[in-house]
Amino acid sequence: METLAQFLVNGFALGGVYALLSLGFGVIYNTVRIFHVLHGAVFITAGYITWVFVEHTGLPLYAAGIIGVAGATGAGMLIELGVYRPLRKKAAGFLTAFLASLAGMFFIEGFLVAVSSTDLKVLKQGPLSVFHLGDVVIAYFHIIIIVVVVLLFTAVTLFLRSTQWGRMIRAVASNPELALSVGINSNQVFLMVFALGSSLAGIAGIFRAYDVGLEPVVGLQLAIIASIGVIIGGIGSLPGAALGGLTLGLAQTLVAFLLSGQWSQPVAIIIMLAFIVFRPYGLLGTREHKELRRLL
Amino acid sequence: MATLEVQGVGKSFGGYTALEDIGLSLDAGSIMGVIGPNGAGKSTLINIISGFLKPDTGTVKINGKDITGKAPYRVFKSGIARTFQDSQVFGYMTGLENVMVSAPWGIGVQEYNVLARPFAVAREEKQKREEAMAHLAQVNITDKARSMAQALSYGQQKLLEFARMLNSRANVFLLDEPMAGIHPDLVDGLKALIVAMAKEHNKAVILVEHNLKVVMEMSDYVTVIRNSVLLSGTPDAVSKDERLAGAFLGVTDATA
Repeated sequence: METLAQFLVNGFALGGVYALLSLGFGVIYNTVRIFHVLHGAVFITAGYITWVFVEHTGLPLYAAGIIGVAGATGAGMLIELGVYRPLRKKAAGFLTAFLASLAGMFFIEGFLVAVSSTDLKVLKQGPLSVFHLGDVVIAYFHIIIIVVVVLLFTAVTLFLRSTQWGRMIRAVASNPELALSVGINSNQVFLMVFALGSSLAGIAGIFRAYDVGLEPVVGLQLAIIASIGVIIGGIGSLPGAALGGLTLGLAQTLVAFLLSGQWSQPVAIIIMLAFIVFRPYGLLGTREHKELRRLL
Repeated sequence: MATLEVQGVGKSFGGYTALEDIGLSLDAGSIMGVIGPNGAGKSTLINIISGFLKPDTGTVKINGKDITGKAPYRVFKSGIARTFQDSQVFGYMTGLENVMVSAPWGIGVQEYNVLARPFAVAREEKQKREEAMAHLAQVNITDKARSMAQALSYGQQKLLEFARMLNSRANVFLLDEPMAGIHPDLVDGLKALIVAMAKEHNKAVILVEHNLKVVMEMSDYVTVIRNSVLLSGTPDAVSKDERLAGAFLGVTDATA
């Protein structure tokens, strides 16, 4: 019983970080239709910026964290302006944009290795502060992650459902040509979507950097996790993306309990393959909707 | 000064001249029927006025303001709304949201206001919702406000498009074959709605149709095009003109 409770707390904490990441990936994918591998670069950018400020300027963690999230948001917008928009102007296809994104990801990874070595960068030195609930050991930090993820998910949902911007984003996702003819500037909407998705990835990146730590290869790994979360949650559905990320976190934690941590990447891929074969429309997508046109 | 003024518009695709020296002008409160056989360039003309295509020559002006070659979203903001030949809705948004989205102005459009002035944004949302409901009521589909647009019938989607146009602040409506694919029982209602848009809401309406009879009944002015303007005038004058038959000569689809 204690083991189960312990597993759930750890699983939800990891799943929460994945949920944020998948949510950000999903918002971008559903609207812009780009397989945004560089989402992983945005994710680690936030962690590295925060680490640099904490380590070298002695700024308190929350202030460095705000700079980190702002940096991730800016990085996401720069990627749209500097990579995807020029490609779109040249009418580049889905695969071209994907390859550009992948190349960009490798570039960032190489850059980080070159300037900061492959060491693990951890924000929190020493053990996390914990409290005991019966025999279950719970880290305060994990509770914070879970609460923040729930709040952010609610805020994003409300934003998309009940603001003019939210409607504009969903309109572009739903019918891009018609969106143009009701006065929506899709380039502006894309930029907004990158800002939104990247700030979510940035927050996830800081969570990850705090306890587990970051190294350059983590970017690509987590970009893959984010996309798998979106696929198993049901492409086109944001609650699905969050649920997909959460499922991956729980599954990886379970595998780490039962077997060992080395299996956590393979298990994510196996789950994805199982979904593609047996339920291609994902957890919350429906059969009719599998042609990817829904955002909420 | 006419509300909508099109002068000397020409457009070629490769070596094919789709439109040549097209001119027309239209005032608020009136309906201009644009007819011509298939391939006459009617849809090309609509696409040029609404900014989806750039003309090779000529100008498009609304209220004296030159909007030639502007992006579609800018054209919309200067006051020109359009429909497409098949009905176009935002499938995964509700009926009400489909209408509300055509109001991209106000403080809610500045994203930082959502954080900086949440209450003002909420008040504006409420007002926009009420306006949109009123426009749904005008086309008699308030009961579809909460349904996903993709679940509506073709005719209901058409009505939703009209509600969306009424909700926009546009004063020129471009209707590309609005009767196409509509159930015969609904045609009269749709006609009445289009006339009401011009006469009650004081919009300038361009009605592209290949059904001559419908156009003659509804329009204040008729322009016959076949790559260039062949004829224009009141429905009476045009229908008596012997050149009208010539416009459709050699084309088999004319439904006269």
